[in-house]
Amino acid sequence: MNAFPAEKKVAVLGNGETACRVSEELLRRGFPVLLLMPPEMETGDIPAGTEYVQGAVLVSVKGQVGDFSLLFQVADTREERRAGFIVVAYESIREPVYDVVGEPEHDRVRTLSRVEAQLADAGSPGEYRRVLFLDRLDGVNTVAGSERLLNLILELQEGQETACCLFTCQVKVASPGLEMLYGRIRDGGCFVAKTDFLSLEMSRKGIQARFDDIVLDDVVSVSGDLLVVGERERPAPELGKIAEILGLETDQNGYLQGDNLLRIPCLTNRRGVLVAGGSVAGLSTWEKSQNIPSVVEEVCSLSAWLDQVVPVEQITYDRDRCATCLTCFRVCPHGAILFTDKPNFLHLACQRCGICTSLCPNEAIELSGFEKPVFFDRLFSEGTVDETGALPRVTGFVCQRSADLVRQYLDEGDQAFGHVHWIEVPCAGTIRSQYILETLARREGADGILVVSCHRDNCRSGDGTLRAAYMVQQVKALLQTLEMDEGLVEHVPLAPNEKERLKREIKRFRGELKSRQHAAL
Amino acid sequence: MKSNRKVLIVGAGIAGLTAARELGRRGISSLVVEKGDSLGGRTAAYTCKAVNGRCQKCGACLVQDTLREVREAPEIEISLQTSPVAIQREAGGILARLKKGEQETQARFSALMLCHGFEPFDPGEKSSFRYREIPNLITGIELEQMIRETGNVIRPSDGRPAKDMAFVQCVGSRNPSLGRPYCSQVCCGYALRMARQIRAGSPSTGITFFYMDVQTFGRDFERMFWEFRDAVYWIREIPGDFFTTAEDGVGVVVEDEGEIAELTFDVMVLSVGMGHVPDQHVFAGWLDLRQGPEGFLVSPDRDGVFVAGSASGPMSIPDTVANTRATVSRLMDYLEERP
Repeated sequence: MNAFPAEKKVAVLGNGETACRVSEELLRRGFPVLLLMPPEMETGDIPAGTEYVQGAVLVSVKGQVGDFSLLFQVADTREERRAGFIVVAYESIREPVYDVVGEPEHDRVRTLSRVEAQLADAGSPGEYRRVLFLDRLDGVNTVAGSERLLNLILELQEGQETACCLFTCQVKVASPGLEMLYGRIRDGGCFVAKTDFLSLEMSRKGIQARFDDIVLDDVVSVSGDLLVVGERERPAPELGKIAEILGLETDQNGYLQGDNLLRIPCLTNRRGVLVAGGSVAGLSTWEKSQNIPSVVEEVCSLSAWLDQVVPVEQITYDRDRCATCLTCFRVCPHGAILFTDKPNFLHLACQRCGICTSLCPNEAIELSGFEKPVFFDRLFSEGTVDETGALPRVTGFVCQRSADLVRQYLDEGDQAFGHVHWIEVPCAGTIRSQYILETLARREGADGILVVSCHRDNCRSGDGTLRAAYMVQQVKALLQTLEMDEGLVEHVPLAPNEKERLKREIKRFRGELKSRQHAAL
Repeated sequence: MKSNRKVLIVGAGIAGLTAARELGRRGISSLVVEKGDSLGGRTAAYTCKAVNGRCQKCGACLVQDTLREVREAPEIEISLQTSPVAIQREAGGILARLKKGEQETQARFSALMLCHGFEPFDPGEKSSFRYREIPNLITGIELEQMIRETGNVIRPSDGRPAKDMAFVQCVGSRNPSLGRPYCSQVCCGYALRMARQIRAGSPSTGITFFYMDVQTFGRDFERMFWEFRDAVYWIREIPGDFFTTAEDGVGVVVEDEGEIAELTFDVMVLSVGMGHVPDQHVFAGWLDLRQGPEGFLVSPDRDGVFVAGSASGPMSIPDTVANTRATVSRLMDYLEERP
């Protein structure tokens, strides 16, 4: 029997082939699908058995994995439906790279998408003997973009016997089979010009392209009778609103995983909310082929987890202390707090980072297992000086994922670690400035404190690292105000594979503390 | 979810460990056999490439997270210093003979996942490199280890810090005459990330890149590339002959801006690519597996045999994680279609 009555239905939000393929794969594994789509799909066929709502616009989402409630608008009515999982699967949009050529109104200039469509529909783009292809020239073209151009060139060369010339800053071949495809189009006579500059002259007779050949180091001229302009990818405009409604982190381009290594390949900052295809990034064919099964696998795994999970209270809440200031609700990186007249903690969504507890101004919430008395007990009753009596005494507040993970795999000879009083915390963002100040103030406390977090963009809780860095800054400022030495506290970002660096950092920190103590004497 | 189905995973690198963890999440137990005596494979020796406290998403640390989860999972059994000596398909599964030390055992499994990884290109194979003779000519993997252990780049010949260094890209990649007609996908990524880290720690270090094309590496390539472009001196040529100069420098002769020039560096780094493991034909022979055009094994994805990670082609650590999860998904389909 299920400990938690989880909903199996998956809400898929999308407008094309990715959404259709994700739906198909999920249906095949027994997950009912609710597809929320625009009035018409742009590409792909909706698989049989999919329940779909045309013209559905998401309004709000409540709840947590296994029990989301989606409110959406269809024409004049609002509808609310339940789903266990949410997959955002919008296609990215394609923008021609007109940077070089401007946006000429010329019948000899066409976008890559248009020529691909002409080939698919009519089998030919028309009677063109010499075709020029333009990729980005600014150094940041992508595999996805190069791949489409190379495939099109091959098709025109082999099917239409067209002479082809590709202008590009560099040929992206970092995907299976692409180097060989590149070799094939060159063997087929395609001239590949690597350049960062191109000038075009259009006339009724054709196009004259002049470019700086980086390899030949000379200006070269090529003529053609059609110019195909390559495309770069951008996130669909819908993603901004969806990110806002779902509380998802976005990356610098606006895609939905945030700039976070730990979310790759398909996770977001909310458990049970997944991203697919063009909502992840402008993916190459190979990347897409890995991403979609990953999404399906994640739904299966989460579903297996929900079947056996017993929801535990992760957070203890003291209503009397709560000022209903909404801080916890605002700072939770995992969408695990629902605010009614008071905060409600969604225990299956909570990933136990404890950021809400460290930022609650009135200590109304505590992470279970890390309540203040328990924490202070560990801080002070265990004693901060180890048997070797190494001085100065250092206390290290360490994220369970960074230095604490390093510490678990130590050789016995790693002395430097034995001399630090380690206090592990679920996330460096959990550490309150009060803990640091009290540790420094008490007689049985420490001479210096290291706060060890993960690196930024490598934090399970998204911004735990930034919060720890900010907290240490605050403590340093406070120490300065008190005319104390701000160097007593330091923040060290560290990855779990940086054992040697942690040893060096401890040695350096202890050395600095020593010289400060000497200076003070 | 209890299940008596068990999967044999060959290799305890990032792919094998990820596979074991993902299968465990689905309630499927596994035996991971590793011929070496430690877990984590090649990834475990790579360095973190964070710059000023910001992750550059190389993925090297992912193996530590995976290791912890694997150690905590009751359904995962690990056997070190163990190699398969024979594997065959049989009705309803896989029959494997495994050898640990002198001891051989035979066991049946529901499916097999080959995660035996890759072999880095050995620049000693190409005599004109003189890799074994020139002390300050090192590989990208050696640089990873150096930074991991010391946090610095030093000249192996005398331990002095490297003031001027160069990376040579595409060594053992994109070269049909070496039987490697493919881009290894990872070398631009690791070289540029380490270069960026070295510059952040020591802004006066000169860094030159010898390259053909800069390949994309990860989703924030665009941002990284712009930040990096002007910090490095780029030469679009791959030198093939190296020599030792006075005071143990590494010299090359290249054409730079139309002039033939002799350039000298304290340390030169060969960004070596990925190749298939030398004994993959053994697996291929046992199980009648096909090699893809790039020479790596193609995952059959049927009859209980699956190949994941860099055993199936060159790929980065994040891509290996994605590929392994996708392969596990197909393996689960296979298991579920059987009674």
